[in-house]
Amino acid sequence: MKRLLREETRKLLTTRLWWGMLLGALALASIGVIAQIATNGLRGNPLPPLTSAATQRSVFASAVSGDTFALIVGIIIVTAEFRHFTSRPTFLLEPRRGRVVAAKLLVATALGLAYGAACAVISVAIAVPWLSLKGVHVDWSSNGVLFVLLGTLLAVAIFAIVGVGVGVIIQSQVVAVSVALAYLLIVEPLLRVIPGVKEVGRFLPGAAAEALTGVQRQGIVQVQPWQGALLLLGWGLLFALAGRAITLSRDIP
Amino acid sequence: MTQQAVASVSADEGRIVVSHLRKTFGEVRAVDDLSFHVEPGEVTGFLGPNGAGKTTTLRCVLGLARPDSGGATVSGKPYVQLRDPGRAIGAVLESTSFHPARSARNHLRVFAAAAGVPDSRADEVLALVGLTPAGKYGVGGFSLGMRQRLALATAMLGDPRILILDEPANGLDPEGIVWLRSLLRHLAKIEGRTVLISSHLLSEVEQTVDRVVIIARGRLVHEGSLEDIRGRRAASVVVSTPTPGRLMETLRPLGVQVTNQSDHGLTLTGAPTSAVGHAAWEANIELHELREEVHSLEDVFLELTEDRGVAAAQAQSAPPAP
Repeated sequence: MKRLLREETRKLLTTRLWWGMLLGALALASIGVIAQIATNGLRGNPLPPLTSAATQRSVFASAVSGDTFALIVGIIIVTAEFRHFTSRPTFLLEPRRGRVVAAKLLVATALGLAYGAACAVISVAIAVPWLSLKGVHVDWSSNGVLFVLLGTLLAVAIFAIVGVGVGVIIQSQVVAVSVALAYLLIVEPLLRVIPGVKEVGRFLPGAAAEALTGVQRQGIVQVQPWQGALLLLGWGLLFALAGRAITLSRDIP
Repeated sequence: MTQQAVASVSADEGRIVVSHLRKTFGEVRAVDDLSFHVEPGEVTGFLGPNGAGKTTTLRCVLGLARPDSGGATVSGKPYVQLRDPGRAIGAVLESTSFHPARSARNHLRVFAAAAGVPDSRADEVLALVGLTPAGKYGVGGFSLGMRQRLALATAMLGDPRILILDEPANGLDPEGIVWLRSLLRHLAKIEGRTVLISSHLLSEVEQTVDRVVIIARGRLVHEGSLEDIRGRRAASVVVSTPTPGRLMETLRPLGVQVTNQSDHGLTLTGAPTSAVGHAAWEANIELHELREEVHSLEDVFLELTEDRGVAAAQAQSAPPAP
């Protein structure tokens, strides 16, 4: 496993993928935070003023939107192998395919934690000076923002794991990325407003990730944050195991 | 008992054994009950026309594809059971396998880590294939020949006992082919490794290989030394005479077969030039030309692979009985 981890880490660090995706994650996270602060108090924004703890949690929690790029990087870690046929030397040097998937999951976890930390840090770097310029006092001991930042970190990290799972199931890069984004941005939000599906909808991957930061949105039923973490991790591992059993047991392209 | 077991393991060291391998893609039988073996210390040519099933066979040997039935062992074990496959066997597969944005040197360092060899080995193999100056550049800008060299370097990372190369001459310039030939001969004859190279042209590997395994339409058509193939070259006798009919009459009792006939001459098999000349002299037949024609190895190869192909094609396209 040590060899595989060295191999996978080097694969990641020898192309520009990791920092390109990191920039993307930081950009999305920043946009979320900036939008929330900038629109606060405007007509049509129902959130209470920035002085309220709930609004502050919501501001910091919007950095979780960087998870989309963690998902994509997780997918590409797997699908790039099939796209460039580096799957061949990889599986020639380790024919036990499950171990290769396990190594990728571990490397994705480390990368996801780094992305998550970066998203949490940038939300602080943007929001704290801005809020203090506006004269808003942030009380770290009582507003629950630290908890939100932890949730952001974990949600982003676990999305990288989910990405690896998706990539193992759908080996085509274009298809895997398109399906994942279409599901998260279109399919799941639609499913969750269908009356009968609403109740079970909270167990879906997107809802689990939202629950992780513990920020409630109006009219949406959520699980507890820790349940969201376990649920999302479960989805990622389920995808990876199913992919290993079904797609990856076929011939290597 | 234990000693026997040890002996049999070491006897299999460096051998590839393919037995009753079968693999179908939909309706197509890519590999059909194929058995052969490859030995250390020599270069074996794995030959057959395009689509004969060479790559599929190699992919089954290497554990990348799963056979429908039968199987293959590498040094006595199925590929997936090899615990240190990078040291047991290295493979260069037909289409190149690199991330275009990764430099050649980084590519080798990635797989050096996978093979469990030190990073210095990456630079060694880079030098071995003559790519040291190009090492820092992305593989995306490499020519086909450079990619082939890098693929060979990747295969050599673990200093493997066995080397498999699928169509290695593709994309190499004549100089590169000469270089590859002497490298492979050295690896097999001097260092005692097992080398298996596939090709669709016998002439391409004729000067490199000691032994050949020839397949057509997924089936074995010949396995043996290159000398065997040379021995199969049927020599024919070409004769020119104003009276071909009379000469045929005269030669018939000798068991001679006519393979080609024109107004002024015959092409014969089954008797040496001396016997044909003697018979003609005794029968008082005028000869204008009498010479031996030796078939090229390529002819023998074509004959071996085509017979099979034509027969199978006829069997497949035969119209249903009325």
